[in-house]
Order: sequence, then C-alpha cells, then structure tokens
Amino acid sequence: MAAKARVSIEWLSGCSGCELGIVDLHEKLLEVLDEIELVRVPILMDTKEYVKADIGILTGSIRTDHDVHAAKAMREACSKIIAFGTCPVFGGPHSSAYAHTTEELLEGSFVRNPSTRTSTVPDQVPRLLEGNLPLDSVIEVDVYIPGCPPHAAYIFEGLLSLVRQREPKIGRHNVCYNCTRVMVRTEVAAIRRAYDGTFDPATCFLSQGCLCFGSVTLDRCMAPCMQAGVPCFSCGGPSEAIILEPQKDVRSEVAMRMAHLTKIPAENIVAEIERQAKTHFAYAMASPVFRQKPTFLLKKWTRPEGQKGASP
Amino acid sequence: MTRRITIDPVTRIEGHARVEIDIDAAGGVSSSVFKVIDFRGFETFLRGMQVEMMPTVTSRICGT
Repeated sequence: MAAKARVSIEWLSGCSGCELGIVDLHEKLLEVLDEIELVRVPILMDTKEYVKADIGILTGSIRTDHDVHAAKAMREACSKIIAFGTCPVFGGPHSSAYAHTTEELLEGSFVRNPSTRTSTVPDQVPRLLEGNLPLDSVIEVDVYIPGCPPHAAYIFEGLLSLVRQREPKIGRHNVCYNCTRVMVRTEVAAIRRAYDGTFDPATCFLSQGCLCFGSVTLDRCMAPCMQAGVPCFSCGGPSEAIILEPQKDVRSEVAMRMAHLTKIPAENIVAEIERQAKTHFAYAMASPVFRQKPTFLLKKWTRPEGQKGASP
Repeated sequence: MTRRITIDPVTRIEGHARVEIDIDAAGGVSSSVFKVIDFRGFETFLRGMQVEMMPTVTSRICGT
C-alpha cells in the first residue's frame, strides 16, 4: 500500500466549526483515514510544532500577528495548503468588523462592555491587525473550500481529490441548486422579515417577499437552512458569478429576481438590502471580492441616519 | 532559582490559549496565568445586524 498523505491542521481566528465539519464525515472518515495520516490537529492531539506534511489545512482568518506567523509556518511545513471554510477564503462572520476600527472592537469588548467590569485592554496577547483578512492575503493557497463549515460531501471530495491528485468533482452552483423551494410569481407587495408571520415551506422566500441570498451564494452547504425555514445569509460566501464579474452586485442581483417574482419595486429591495448590509455582507466583507467592487459602499450604508449624504 | 513553565499552545481545547506558571526559589508556584489569545470582537460588530441573523452568527462564536 502506498504511503499515507500526512495531513496537518492549524487554526487561525475562527470557531473550530470546521474541525467539527471534518467529524461530520461520520463513517466516511474511516475511508479518508485509509489514505491520510493526521500528524497535527490542535483540537485532538498534543503536537505543538509545525511538523512537515503533504497537506496543510488552515481554518479561521488572519486577525492577529500570531495568525500571520502560524500561516507562514504552515506554508513552510506543508506542500499543499487548503483554505478550509469561509473564514480563510473570505474572512468569515467577523469580517463585519470591517465596519469598525480595531480600537472600537477592543473598547467594545473590554472597556464599554456592560457585562464585564474591566477597564483595560489586554496587552500580553498577540497584536490585532487593523483588519480581518483572508488567508491568501498572507500566503499562497492551493485549494479553497469555503462553507461555514463546508458540507461533509465537499470535504470528502476536496480531500480525496488532493490525495489522489485528480481534479475535484465539485459543482459550481449557487445555493438554490439544492433548495427544494419553488420560485413562483406572486402578488406580494411588501418586504417581510423572516419573523414576520409564517412562510409557505414549499415556496421560494423571494416569492414570499422575504430576503434570501441563496441565489448569490456558492453552494458548499447543500442548502439545509431553507429546509429548516431560515433564509440564506450567505455564510458560504459569494457565488462564482459574483466572484468572477466585478460589476455584478449582490444586492441588485437579488433585487432583480425578487422584483420579477413579486410586485415589490426593485429599488425598494435594493434600499432594504443596503439598510441590512451588515447582515447580508457579513461573511465576506473582508474579501477583496467585495471590497474591490465599485458598488460596495458598506461604510456609507452603515453610517447613522442623517449622515448618509456625505461621501464615503 | 526562579523559573517559568510555558505551555504554548494549550492543545485539545477549542480555541487558542497559553499557560504561564512562575516557580519561585523555594519551588512553589508564585503565579499562574491562563491567556486566551484570540479575539474577534463579536460584542461590537454584532451591533446593527438584523435580529434574525443572531442565531446563525452567534453560533459561530464557538464551533458552528
């Protein structure tokens, strides 16, 4: 039998949900372990050093100078690097810190936090960077597997294709592809929030006047939320169409579909998405995919009322 | 002679931590500090988000 591929895992600023995502492989994990050997997994093993490996899996984003050090050490020690999960690929949910300065974040947690009595910011910890960054802003990445966490099917295919050195058989659909709700035209005339009454479980959220971002989000999840009655918040990051075309814009794409399906004017939908921008752009704000779009004006949209007219 | 024992990183936990234990001349522990070294700022950036987003985003504080 051929030697097993050595796999090393390190986490940056994240939540460890991606490590749990690997455990979601269940019995399939045994099949994967036939071909790989785990040599470093902080949540599972006591290996502290950055040992040599064939495949390095990095979860979490670059938020502190320790993350920069860890990412570089992993790049040095591993032949291939996987950016595993939405955090290293696009920044993850804490990308929404883009709307704040680092000083505001530290003050908010340690000084102005009503549930603690501290008044000083810790100084014996790694330094926070000015922003939250995706992994490829610091090191070269070989494989990207977004998802929060990625569905086990994508993890399985992603890992094995790398071990067996073949192209991964992974679709490039958006979340709607695996959603069972059906788009229909309706007479709905106003936007409804997800908590606003009940929604028909067989009909597309957009048809019912509820904002859902499945149509502009890459499917790395198999669409579980919509089946549970929750509209898509784009935790997997933007769809391929949004990534590839700088002029393509999340809010106008969603508004166009929703206005087509309902009687709600597209401009009302765009205005509502801008009002809720911090929610709907949360997971990928740190990524240049959004920041470099000429239409992305988050800091303007999140400015307090009364200051909206000023230039960003 | 005083010395310091450092455990960095602490493994088999969720998240990032470091432990520093100072030993005094008599061999006793003079201080022991547990440092949590990652920070993302949820307390601040959650403000201004839609309330229906909270169950999905706060579950990402630890372990999805």
